[in-house]
Amino acid sequence: MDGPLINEDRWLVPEAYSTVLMAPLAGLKVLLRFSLITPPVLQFSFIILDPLLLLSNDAFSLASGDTKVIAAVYGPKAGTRKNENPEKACIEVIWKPKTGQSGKSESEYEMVLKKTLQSICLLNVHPNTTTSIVIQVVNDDGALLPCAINAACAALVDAGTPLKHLAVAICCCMAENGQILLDPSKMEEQKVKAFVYLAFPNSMVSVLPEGGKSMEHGILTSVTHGVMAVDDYFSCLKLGRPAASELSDFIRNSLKSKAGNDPSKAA
Amino acid sequence: MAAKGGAAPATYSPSPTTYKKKRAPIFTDVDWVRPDGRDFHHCRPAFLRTGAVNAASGSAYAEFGNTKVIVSIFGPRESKKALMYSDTGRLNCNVSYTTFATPVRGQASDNKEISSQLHKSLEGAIMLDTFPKTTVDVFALVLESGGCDLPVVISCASLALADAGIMMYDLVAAVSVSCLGKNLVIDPVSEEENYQDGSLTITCLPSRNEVSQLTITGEWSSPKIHEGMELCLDACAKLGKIMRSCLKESASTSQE
Amino acid sequence: MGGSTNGATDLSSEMEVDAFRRLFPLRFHERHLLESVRPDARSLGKARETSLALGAVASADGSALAKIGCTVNPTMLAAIKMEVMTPAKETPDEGCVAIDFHMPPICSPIVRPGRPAEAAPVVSKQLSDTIISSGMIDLKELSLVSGKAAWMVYLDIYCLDADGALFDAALLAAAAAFSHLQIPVVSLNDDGRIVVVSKENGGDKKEKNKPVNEEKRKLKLKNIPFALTCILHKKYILADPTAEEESIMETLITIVLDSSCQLVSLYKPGGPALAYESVVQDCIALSRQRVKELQKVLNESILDMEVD
Repeated sequence: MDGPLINEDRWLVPEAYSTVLMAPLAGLKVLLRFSLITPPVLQFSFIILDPLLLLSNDAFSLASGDTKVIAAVYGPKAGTRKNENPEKACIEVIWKPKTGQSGKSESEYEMVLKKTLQSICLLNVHPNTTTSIVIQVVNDDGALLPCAINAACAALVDAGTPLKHLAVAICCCMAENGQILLDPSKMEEQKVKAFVYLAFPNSMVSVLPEGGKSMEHGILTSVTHGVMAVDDYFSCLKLGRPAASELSDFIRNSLKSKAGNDPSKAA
Repeated sequence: MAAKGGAAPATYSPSPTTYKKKRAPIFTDVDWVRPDGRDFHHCRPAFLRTGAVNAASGSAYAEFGNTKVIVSIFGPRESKKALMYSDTGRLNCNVSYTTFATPVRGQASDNKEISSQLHKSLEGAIMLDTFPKTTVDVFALVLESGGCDLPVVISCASLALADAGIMMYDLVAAVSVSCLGKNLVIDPVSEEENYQDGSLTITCLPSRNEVSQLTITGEWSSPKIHEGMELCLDACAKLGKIMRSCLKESASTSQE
Repeated sequence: MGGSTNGATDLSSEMEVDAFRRLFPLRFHERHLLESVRPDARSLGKARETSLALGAVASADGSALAKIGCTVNPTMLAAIKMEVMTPAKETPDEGCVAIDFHMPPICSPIVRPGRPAEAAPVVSKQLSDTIISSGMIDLKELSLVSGKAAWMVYLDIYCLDADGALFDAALLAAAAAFSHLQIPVVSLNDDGRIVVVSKENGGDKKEKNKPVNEEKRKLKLKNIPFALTCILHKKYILADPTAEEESIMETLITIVLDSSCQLVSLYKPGGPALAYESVVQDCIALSRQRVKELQKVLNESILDMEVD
């Protein structure tokens, strides 16, 4: 295992989650293992990530109600939806809230996630196909969107979707006294004056692209809430970037160990 | 209190119109002044303009007093996949209201009914066989409802169709009259419509002198119907002229 | 690949401009960008001409039309209707604002009746987040009778012509509608309901039911937020994109600054181009300029209305 951060058990779906929603997924997985010719679903996978746990290095906070999201990838299925470019692969995001029906904030999350994932996927590899990513919120304890971006990204890797690079998302927030906190809980999110969701690209290139700017310095996605000074945003950026790279190391390691431990994929 | 507490508090409009439904006594008299001071047989001043929406293939804006309408035309474009092959074109009409169109928020009348009326009155005027297999979409948005919405939508839609270059036998002009007691009032405002005993709407092709739709509701005597129709047809002919001059004007400005 | 691009060049020399624009939209725009000009003759950092007309809807308590672009056509229509509600128990002295953004079928060929545009709820959510979090409106000002009645402000924004940067235009129209808002004078009647004091029946009832909000006819707006959307494409930054530009170059960044140039929102949902710090700085500089422009447009429209 890779240090104390990761607990192997957490890669399995705990009993509690095998509810009505998860049961058909699990069933499909078994089905897939036996026949790879089921047309609508070629690959699918799930992964649970917990950014609070990852950053705080505190394995016990899991029990005290953290942000949890299940991301499942289906596809690529044949054909794109209307109004999409058929010469490229289409990414579709379906955001399922913890309870109740999807509303405006869900469709906003869907749009942000869709555009973020579109920019990390190699869309020319599977033209005229649709890959669906279903995000099921299990528990919202702040920084929900970053958690979903990380989970979706890991799920895409697990599904073998061709990617340019990974996306790593974090949340920074500005307290009233000007202090910057990383990865707030729901309570903190409501109390602080402003918070920023940031996603950075994370690639393994050893040669820098033209311009000499490291790709990690570019912002892939930024969503902010609340009023802050422009300089505060840049301090968030400064603090967020190293945190994101730390997080990306963890994600890479855990994806590697997952691939190594999965007998079905090893073959 | 009317409003109950809870997650989504119920709201109500403080405007007095919500509970004052009684017919104002003045309308029963022989001599009364219309709410906007017009003669009984005078239409509201009409303002028409084509090309209101850049994204559409044709569009028009119409303002008759407080009634403000925008109509956009899209197409002729591919019909819905589920539809059968047809060697004549299809017409698809939809009318919607803004939430602030009516005095009390979100109280607009049935859109489906108005949409189908719009469809019926336009269908006969359009040369559908000039665009086989395809659909022309006529979408209308009532920005503000100040009475006589349907006639305004119809006239505006035919102007927008002309702007989009859709072949028509003639422009379509629509006018309605209300029967209030002993009087006939042309081009009624919402307040008059609310108290009317009957209403008569004529949609016609003025140059061909053809009627594409005639709707009569409420209580009418035969001579009254006759009088109402005469009034409407006369007004339609005049409206047709205004529409024609509006089109000519926009065509001449675009040529310059 | 090489062959096809060469083919395009050969063709383009003979092709008509319009056909070239349709067949090779990206090359068409990039060719313009090389000359630092855009198809509509704007320079890259220049936003479209903008104007406002207040009080466009007579049946609303406050309304505004925003026109963006050189045409005479309005792009956004915002209108406010005030209703009365019972305030929540936790906040007895506060009213509420409900914001909705609509894209009716008339505005764009993509929207069909019965199937709302995907963008509408997203813009709607962004607008309410921005307006509420900017602190433009003090919800306490919407209180009528503490714990009993408060205003529910319904703000509906209709897109009449979708031509890019919808959020910017919608936010401007919303801010203008709030500046135009005239709160009706109301009183509490004997049944405990709030009713409008109209001119004719105000006289005889005056002693019994006093108006509850005679002094509070206008909202005090502070820190009005203004937005600017930019396209990031390669090394170029294009301010205030049209719908065509948005569909071809996909990376959008929306910056909302308030009148004191505090950052209200920096919104970049993905996109193939990355926003480096210097690029973000440049966009913010463009937004600062735009805030000044829009502030002026808004002030002028308010003055115009007062003169009339």
